[in-house]
Amino acid sequence: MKAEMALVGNPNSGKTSLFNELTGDSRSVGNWAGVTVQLEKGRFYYQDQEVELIDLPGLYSLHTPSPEQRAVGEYLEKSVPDVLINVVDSTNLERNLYLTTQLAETGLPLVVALNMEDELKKQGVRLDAGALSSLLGVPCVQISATRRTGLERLLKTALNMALHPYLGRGEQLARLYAPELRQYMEQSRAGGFRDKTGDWERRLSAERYRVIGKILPQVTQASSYGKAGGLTERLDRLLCHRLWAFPLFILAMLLMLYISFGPLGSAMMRACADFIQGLLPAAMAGWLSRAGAGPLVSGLIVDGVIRGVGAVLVFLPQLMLLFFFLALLEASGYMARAAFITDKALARLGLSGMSFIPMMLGFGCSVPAMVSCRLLENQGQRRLTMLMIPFMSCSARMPVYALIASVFFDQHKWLVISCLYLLGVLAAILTARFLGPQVLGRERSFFIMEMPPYRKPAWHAVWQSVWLRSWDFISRAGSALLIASVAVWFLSNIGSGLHLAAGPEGSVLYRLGAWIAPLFAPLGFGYWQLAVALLTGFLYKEAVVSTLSVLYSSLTAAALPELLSPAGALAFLVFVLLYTPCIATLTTVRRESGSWPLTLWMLVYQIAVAWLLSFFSYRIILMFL
Amino acid sequence: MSRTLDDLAYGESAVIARLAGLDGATEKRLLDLGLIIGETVTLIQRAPLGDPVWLEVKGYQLALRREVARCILVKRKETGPA
Repeated sequence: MKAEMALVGNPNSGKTSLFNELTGDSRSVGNWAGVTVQLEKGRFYYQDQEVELIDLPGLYSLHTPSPEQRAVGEYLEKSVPDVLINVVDSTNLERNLYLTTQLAETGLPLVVALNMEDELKKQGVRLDAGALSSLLGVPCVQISATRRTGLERLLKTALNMALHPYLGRGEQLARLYAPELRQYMEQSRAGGFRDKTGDWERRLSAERYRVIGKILPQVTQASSYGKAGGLTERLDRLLCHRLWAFPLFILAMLLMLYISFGPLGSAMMRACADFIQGLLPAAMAGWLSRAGAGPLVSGLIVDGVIRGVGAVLVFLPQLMLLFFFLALLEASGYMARAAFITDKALARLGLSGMSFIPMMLGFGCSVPAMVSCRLLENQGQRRLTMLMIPFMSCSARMPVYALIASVFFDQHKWLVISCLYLLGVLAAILTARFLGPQVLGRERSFFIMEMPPYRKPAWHAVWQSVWLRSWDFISRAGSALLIASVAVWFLSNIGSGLHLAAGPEGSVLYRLGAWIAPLFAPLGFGYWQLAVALLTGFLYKEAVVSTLSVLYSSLTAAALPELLSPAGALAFLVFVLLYTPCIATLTTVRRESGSWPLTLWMLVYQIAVAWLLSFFSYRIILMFL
Repeated sequence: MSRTLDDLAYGESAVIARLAGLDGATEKRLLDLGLIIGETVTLIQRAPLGDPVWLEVKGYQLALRREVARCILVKRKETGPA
């Protein structure tokens, strides 16, 4: 029998680090009956006991309505876990214990993980976990998820609780509450009392903090409790400075792009390309001919598989650099600052600084960015942000830019790429400007956000995040892109009647591409190869590159520069930047928004925007050339 | 003579006297975050564009918009005998 454990805690409590630490690569997104939001889960074994761990969304309160609260509430109602692990930031005990008191009030089997014990020690604070356990009536274990300390003890305690839940949980704590509030809690739990004015709940909130205030001095010994580090203050004075905040922010973004796509990234890519596109196909072709493989098999493997999948895989080093910076931004606490400094600007668009975080994540991949829109509480805010995210150029589009830009604009490659990123942001802003009023209606945005102290990123956690994202990329190249490359190769080499076509003009793919291509003629790239590449790009944006490589290897005469003018190439890049998000993104939008109209509208809207902006950029560049 | 959180100078501390004119959900959220009557708050800084404001309360830091800060009435921190 497996034990089901659920992690619950405040945002920034290190819940996800603990989850990653315990489950490693085994994570997946799971569905629960009756639970509308999908929750992340992972599986591992501890002392021969199979454990399923669920990462519940971070929240501050069990009772204040918010999407997280609804998700956690639903989960706790429908699928009672064997034990709840409440992850608590020890350096911010007072506020974190508020949720703990609410959890203890429910009487569910509970273990408290006092996270970040290392940082607490650095602050010179001593925390008596034993005393806290007996005051709360709930076992408390000190851990550090990033330094991997105390995890063994935590699992042992949690498993013990899961297998032998004892009665009378939370009783100790309840005794500390004022008698009339205790009575109120009992009555409201029994359903016999309605708090019409909200006055009782208000008193209860204050009472929980009063109780925590009484507990804390008994369990901590500190001279400087809760003081943020001096470095955080100094950094914030600079990074949120009236004059310097925005220039520094933009500089950081440009630096990120420059390192990823500038000399360093390019050098790494070339090294990778030399192997994948030079040595590997040659060696493979030689080996295949020695093994006596026919031209069909050899063509399929060398031109179909290696060229197609390889064309995408060569960008892995650059993507890893990009993933590294994103992970760094996430782990350091800078995301909250970015939200803070951009809130007022986003408020003018009817959004809030909180929308900034999903948009930043959109530079990695639209799918998790769409999922992170859950942190936005209003439906309109969520939908408008979702409409904007696909314009944030995701990492899968990067190989397309890199390929085309290095063919046509090698000298100014990273400048062209930076401009594309900016154009995407601009398109997102214009989207909010024009569609905002309809999507938002009368809804008003708000911004209440915790500003966590800067944390020195734990390198192995950063590495793990880079690895998980890279692995996702590699496995897609190995599965879906592989199939797409093979399919493209077949369709481009086989004509009607299933025989090898003499030239590309006889192939099935040619007819399909030639049928759509005229649509792109006004944009300067009305060629069947590019049309087909865009079609496959709807499945996976990286497929644009793999398709082009497969098609152009079988096309002997026409290389890219002969086919396309630089203006047409740029228009093509603009189109790739803006056109319909990939199918995975659309499915995620459908799932997260629960709205087909929004999903279909997004599809049509983006194609229209892409076509128009691509058309204008083509015409404008033609004027200058 | 009712000052609000928005009137505080950089680094100034005050005690929350009352929450007024907030909708129920926002008020509940502030209470959950520890902005309860009698609590000491310190204004740390304002965003580059003037809004939102950045506070310290209960040993952690929090940012909220001025429109909300204006609904949090404060009184001077009493410096009674130690």
